[in-house]
Amino acid sequence: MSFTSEQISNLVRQVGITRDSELNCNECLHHVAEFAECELTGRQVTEALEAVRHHLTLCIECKEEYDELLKVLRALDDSSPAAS
Amino acid sequence: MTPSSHEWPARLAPACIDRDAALAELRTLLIKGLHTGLSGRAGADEGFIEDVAQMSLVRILDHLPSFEGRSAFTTWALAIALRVAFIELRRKHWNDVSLDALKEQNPDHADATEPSPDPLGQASRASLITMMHRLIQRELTPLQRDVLLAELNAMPQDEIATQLGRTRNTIYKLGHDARRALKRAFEAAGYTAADVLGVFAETSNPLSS
Ligand SMILES: [Zn+2]
Repeated sequence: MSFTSEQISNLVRQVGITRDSELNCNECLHHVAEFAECELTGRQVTEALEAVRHHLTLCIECKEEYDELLKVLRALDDSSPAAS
Repeated sequence: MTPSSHEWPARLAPACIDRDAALAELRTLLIKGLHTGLSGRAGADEGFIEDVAQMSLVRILDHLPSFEGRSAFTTWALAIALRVAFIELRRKHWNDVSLDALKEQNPDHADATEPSPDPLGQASRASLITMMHRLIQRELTPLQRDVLLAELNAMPQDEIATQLGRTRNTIYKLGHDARRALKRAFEAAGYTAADVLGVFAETSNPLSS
């Protein structure tokens, strides 16, 4: 099989940021709520949560879900006087 | 008043007399969130959102013991609901696409040649692409190549897992192992990660948009 130049370009970028230890998608989901709240409130992201950020740069599916989570949290925050 | 993150798990426990009310509140919140998160998505109609909310409630209850209180309970629950929703949306979208069809769309070609190493580190984009083609064939297993091909064609990992009879975690590991093998091969050829990223830094990255 072969790949298009665009696909190879994406792969080269992904290889460039590959780490020996990475979160998988389930592990990302386990931490992504905390990461999203840190991002929204400007709280400092711990080293463990940096792994979430790294996964989101590699995984287009988790990134898509994360972007929508941020949108939802912002919308709920706007419509509610107190968040839980 | 909205329950606190501490109260939600207790209210959702099987023995709690308030459980039905808590489930109804959570369901309402999930539906509201799903409307926002899925607005404008093809296939995300009212019936779909109701179904996803129900599936999400089941998954949230199953995973309740893993909630550690590191975020608001509602944030945690919404993240799960969005995962459930996107798995279903992607499944519908990719229902009729097979990995074999993707392989047929990407036939072998023999124009990939090894570039000469550049001692000054001025690796060109074209030579890196050519080299990557070569390394994919030389360094990866057929299964790793299949996973990369599917991922680079944006096939969802759950769909790849189903078609290959594996779990999503296994698919991620196969892709990760493949990227690590390619990275090692690049480094063995004298290219650092900084070289590789530098060459592609000026082109747009759809994964970080
Ligand atoms: Zn992921």
